[in-house]
Amino acid sequence: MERWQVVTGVLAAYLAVTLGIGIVSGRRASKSVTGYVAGDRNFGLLVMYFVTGASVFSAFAFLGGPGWAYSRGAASFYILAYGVLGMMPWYWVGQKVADTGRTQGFVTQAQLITGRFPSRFLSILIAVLSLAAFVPYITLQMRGAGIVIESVTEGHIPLWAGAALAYGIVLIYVLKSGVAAVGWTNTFQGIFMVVIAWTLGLYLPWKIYGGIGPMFERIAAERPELLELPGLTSSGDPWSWGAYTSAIVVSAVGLSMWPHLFMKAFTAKDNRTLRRTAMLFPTFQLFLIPVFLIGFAGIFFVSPDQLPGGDTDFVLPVMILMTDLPAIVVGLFCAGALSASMSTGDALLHAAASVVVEDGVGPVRKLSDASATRLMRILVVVVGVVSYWFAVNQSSSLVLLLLTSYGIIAQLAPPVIAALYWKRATTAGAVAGMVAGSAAAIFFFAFPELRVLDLHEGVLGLGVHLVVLIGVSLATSPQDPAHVRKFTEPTGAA
Amino acid sequence: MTTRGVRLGATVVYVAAFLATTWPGLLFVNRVDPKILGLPFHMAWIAGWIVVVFVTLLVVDRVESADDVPGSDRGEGAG
Repeated sequence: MERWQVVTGVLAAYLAVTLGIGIVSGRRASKSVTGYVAGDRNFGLLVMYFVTGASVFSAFAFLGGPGWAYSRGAASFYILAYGVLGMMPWYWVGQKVADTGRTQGFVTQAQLITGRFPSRFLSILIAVLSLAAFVPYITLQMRGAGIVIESVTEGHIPLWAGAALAYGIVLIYVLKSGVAAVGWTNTFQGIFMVVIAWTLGLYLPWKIYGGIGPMFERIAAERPELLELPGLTSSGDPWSWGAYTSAIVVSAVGLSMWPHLFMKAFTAKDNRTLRRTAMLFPTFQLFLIPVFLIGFAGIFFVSPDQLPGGDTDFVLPVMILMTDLPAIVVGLFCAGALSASMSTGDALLHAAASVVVEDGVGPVRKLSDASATRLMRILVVVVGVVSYWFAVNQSSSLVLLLLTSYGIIAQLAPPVIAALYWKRATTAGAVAGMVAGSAAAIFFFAFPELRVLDLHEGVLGLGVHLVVLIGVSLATSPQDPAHVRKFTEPTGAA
Repeated sequence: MTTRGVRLGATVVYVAAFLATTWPGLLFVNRVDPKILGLPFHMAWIAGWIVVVFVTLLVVDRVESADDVPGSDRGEGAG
């Protein structure tokens, strides 16, 4: 048997196991909408940990991260930094979200926001923005899966077919089982990813350069610009500090606002589980280190013309295939990368559909449980197809796709924080802030040359958002204190 | 340690971690040597802050969990 056939065989076996776990676990959840969306609120610590980790670390970390380390050097370090900065506040905010969810029965973040700031328009706006952020994020995951499969099969299965195959499987288990399947498959995929990443991250620098230290010595000697913060842009010019810092800020602010992650606060069994998940999150962040080491190891090992279309997101799989590792190890690794894509992709598809049904349609028309669940399944397919179209027809870098989505999703942070912590915030302020902030982010996305200090459009949007939210809130009359207390002190004053 | 004290400490660590891993903090560590466990100094510096935040959260969680009334979900006080 040829090498690529063995690798493909491993990948096929992996996909079969994932599908099996996805289908079996679904039998245990109840059939209600709460069961489908929130997994009946009973995920334990182990599952929560891997659900969080696996759904945050995606094709972006596994393929985009090494791609950036390979081509943009130290610029990739922004990815190391933002995770902990985004997650630490969630230790407290997450609990408060969970408390309000439990006392008032919320299952989505728009329900929480519009619970405090009643506005049907706001709910629909949030649904639209979330969807706009989800599509590039899902597109990224699908491209990632396609990239892995295309490289592994040496082009026998092209990107479009690989992405279709992997996401066909994701669709099957998401449609069949909802969030319960996402939980169990992510646990499996999360463990898989961590083990494989550390093994290869230590092995490859040692194998190619004789160690991690010697590898960086060679880079510092021959390509010193790569190790000079804040790194390089995609065209090889020095990156700006404004862009580097604001990439961290927008990602940190956006991180816990992703509906698929935010809604975990409503899925958690209790606050203790939720707190522990936030607490353990930095351990997942450390797992980026070996992934970056793999990217750095590629600098003198893979030349850009060996990558399909010169696309640096291919660096990791292409490199692994060039080593003399046994085919079975290569297969396992590629399965790890594939699982990174699928474990995020499934959560994203599921969350995108949930948000549209609960927040976009819910406030306008009351749906029965059965028809809501049916609509959600239809939407999972629709969102999947739209993202797939972009994945096959667009070729932006994975990291850039993600940064664009973060710019949109970060706009959900001000109303969430205001709802839970700022007594004086008003509905008019929240709505005006959301509209102005999103408009500003879109404006600077469209006209990058107008950005102040090269700051990310999402950060500029946040600036406008905060000013408008605070200004309009103070100019309008305060909310009823009894109403406000249900959010600022969800468990009652102690 | 009180919950209040711990939250104050955690906030200080958070602000420090933020400044240390973005501009302007990184300007002061923007070099490759000395390497730590083979990693360039600035990369090890950022990784070190991940560990600092993790340890901080471990301490925070010990204190906050001690406040929990056994068998209930209440972790959030008025503070």
